[in-house]
Parts: sequence; C-alpha cells; structure tokens
Amino acid sequence: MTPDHTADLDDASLLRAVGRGDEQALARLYDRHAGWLLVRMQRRCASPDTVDQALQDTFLALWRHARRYRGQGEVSAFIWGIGIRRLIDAARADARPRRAEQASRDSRAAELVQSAEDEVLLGIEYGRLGPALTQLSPELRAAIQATVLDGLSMAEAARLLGVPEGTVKSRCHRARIQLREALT
Amino acid sequence: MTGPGRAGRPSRPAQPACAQLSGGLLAGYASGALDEATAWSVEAHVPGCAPCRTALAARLDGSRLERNKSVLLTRLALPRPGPVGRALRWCRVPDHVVTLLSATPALRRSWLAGVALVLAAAIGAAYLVAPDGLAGGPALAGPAVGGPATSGATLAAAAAVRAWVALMPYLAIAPLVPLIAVAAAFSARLDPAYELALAAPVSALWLLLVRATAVVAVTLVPTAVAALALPGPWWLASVLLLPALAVCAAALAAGTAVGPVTGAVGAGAAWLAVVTAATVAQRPAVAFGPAGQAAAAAVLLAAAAVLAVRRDRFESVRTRRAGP
Repeated sequence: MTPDHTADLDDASLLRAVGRGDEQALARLYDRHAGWLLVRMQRRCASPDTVDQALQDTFLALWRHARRYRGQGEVSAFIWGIGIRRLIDAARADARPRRAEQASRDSRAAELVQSAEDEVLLGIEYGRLGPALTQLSPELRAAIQATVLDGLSMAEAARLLGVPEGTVKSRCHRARIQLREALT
Repeated sequence: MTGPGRAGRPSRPAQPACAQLSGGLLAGYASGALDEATAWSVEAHVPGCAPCRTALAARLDGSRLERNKSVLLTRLALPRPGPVGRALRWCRVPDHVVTLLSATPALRRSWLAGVALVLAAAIGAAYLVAPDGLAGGPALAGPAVGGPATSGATLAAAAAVRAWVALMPYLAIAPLVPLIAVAAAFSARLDPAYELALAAPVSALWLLLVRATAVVAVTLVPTAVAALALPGPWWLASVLLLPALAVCAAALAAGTAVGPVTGAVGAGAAWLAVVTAATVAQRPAVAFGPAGQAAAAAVLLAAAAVLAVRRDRFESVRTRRAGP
C-alpha cells in the first residue's frame, strides 16, 4: 500500500479526489465523517440495520456523484444532504423488505449551506429557545427537526415522518406559533 | 451545564475539543442521553467542526464503523449494472435477481444476435421455397387430404400445404430458440453463475422459474417479431407460443431425471420428430392447429406437474452435475 497522500487534504479537496475515482480519498472522508453521520441517522431511525445500510449508501452515492459538489458550502452539509435522503429511502425499503431499494435519486442531493437556522440553533442551549423547544409536543418537534435541522422539503419530511405532506405543513405552522408565544 | 465528569468511558479522557462543546455534551449526544433541544444544538455544530467530529467518533462503537467501511469498500468494487439492469432495478426487481439475470447466458447481447441470425435464416428459407408469396396462405383446419374433394379444392389444399412447408423451417426452429436458452441457463458448462447459484440460499425451483421466465420472455420477443417478417399470416407467432412453452417445460421436467442439457436435447429431438412427421405426412397444419395446441397444453401441464412433484430431484441433479 502506498503511503497515504490523503491525510493532509481538506474535505473539499478530498471530495474532488473522490470525483476523480480516488478510493483512498473516500476512505479518508469516511473516517472523518461516518461517526457523526451514524449518530445523526441513529437519532432519526431506530433500526441499526437500516442506519448501516443508509450509511453505506451515502458514501456509495458520494463515490458516484462527488462531481456534483461545486465547492460551495460545507462538505459536511453536502454529505448530510445525501445522507438524510438515503436514510429515507433505506427506511422505506426496510418497511417493504421484499422490494428493491428505490432507484437512485442522488441527482437531487441538495447542496445545503450553513443556514441561518443553524446559527440560531448553536445558541439554543444557552437561550430561551431550549426550554421552548422542549415544551413542544414530540410530533411538532419532529416536524421542525426534519424541515429546519435536516433541510428537507415538506414532501421529503412527510416521507421521513410517515405522514401526509399537509400534516407536516400544519405541524410546522403550529410549532412556529407555539415557539413565538413562548419567546415573546 | 455538564462537567467533564460525565464524559463517556473512563479509558477515554475528555478530549480538548473546541471551545463550544464540552466532552460531556458530546458523550451525552453519542449515547442519546441529551434532551432534544440540546442535542439539536450539538447536531448543528458537530458536522462542521473537525475536532468535535473526531472526539465524537472516538466515543462510538469503532467495530461498527469499521464493519460498515469494509462493506462499503466491497460494494465499491462491485460492477455497476448496465442500462437494462438499472431499468430492472427501477422496476423494483431486487438486486440479487438482477445479478442473477445479468449472468444468464441467453440474456447476453451475443446470444440474442445468434438468435436473430438463426431466425433470419429461417425467414430466408421461407422466401426461397415460396418466392411468389403464399397464395391462399396456410389454413389451420388443414387440407383434407384423401377426402372426396373436387379438383379445385384439391388445388387450394395443395397450395396450403406448400405454404406450410415454406414456413416449416421457421416453425420448427422457433420453439427451439427458447428451449436452447433455457438449457444453457441451467447447464454447468455454459452458466457463468453456476457455482454461485449452487451456493445461493434459494430453492432450485425458484431459480428455475425466475431464469426460465426471463429467458423465455426475452427469446420469444425476437421470435414473434420474426413471425411478422414472414410471408405468412399475422397470427403465426401466436400458434407457436404453446408449443414453445411445452417444449421448454418438457425439457426441464426431463431434466430432473437426466440433467438439463440431455433433457433439452431430448425434448428438442422429440419436437423436430413431430414436425417432420407432420410434414412428411402432408399434414403440417396438424402440429399447430387445434389438435396440436391441445397436445401442447397437455404436455405443458404434465411437465409442470412433474416439476412441482420432483423439484427436490431437480436440486440434486444440479448438485450432482457440479463436478465437471
């Protein structure tokens, strides 16, 4: 094995190397990012098998579609954009075990950027938002998590949560009203 | 809020992460002990922060990450399916079935090219025998040979016989195309996935049905298209369907006793004997008319029954023939 040239590269360079078919670069990206991705997926899906499947699928999709990364935004946000959608697909395939995994929709892997919401969330535990969020019912909190924290569209959030799209919209609306009341 | 005292396992001292997160928060996040709102703020921070990522990964089950990594690297090395395989996958055909089908000899492009060539030769033969087209065309009722007929009726009957004779090369060959394909799909020598299929935790009958269905479906398409190119009537392809299925099923049923290739050779020879006998007897339509169709249906049902009863036997024949 050749001495690993990937150790000193930053994530964006690694992703470009993956786009050129560099397997070592993918392994390095995995070492750096699989941990948090695993925890974050596990918090959204109870089945360890589904999470393992989605974790592999995510890096497999990275391998095939790394060229779609245009160098904007955090690499971790790009990975999460793919990962959460792989998780939705894996969970759905798991619900119907005899069916094949949904054909790849990686092309729509959004390039998420660090959003204003993320900046706010960083301050959650120190401010009044924390208690306000804790007071929300689990359904409302899950809706806010899927749409704000995970960056999903209403339709994708609906698939993840297993409820109709209109329900997600109304839950988000109610959550916003309750948060506003708690914070003012 | 939390001190370093809550940090994970004793063997792992709280790493000096970044200023924003204590080791205790990371440990709580990794174990799922944090309340929702706090977990969210950890979640928003960690992916973008290299020291926190490393510290978090150090608190996870390392063997699980390693196992997923090795599976991932193996999956990278697997060949990607071609356009047909992707289309099958899109139709929700499971991965392992796609792999199985892509390893089936009769579904290869070279094989299909061979099929096209043979069928083209049969069509050419039809035009050679009856270059002026088929006056009157073949009739399924069959000519009333030897009956008390007028000279005009005899002439028409003779034309119908000649039409059938012109079509005979095609009619004789067409059912053999799926037959050979089915035999090849189960022959130890021709099937590249033979060992794989032997070791696969699926019943031989399931394997048989999946592969035979795919192979018959694919080979019947060019056969039916070829029928349209023939000088005969448009319904020609439909009279071939039952005989073709019957011959394939009979070959597989016989294969439970003598192996797939011998079974296929026997069934093919039997089919050719029937067709030749009908042609020599000047009653070629019999093989494809109502009587022939009924006989084919009977053979098909009998073969299916034999297969269902002797499916275990089929399994052992495959295993025994693994040697060569």
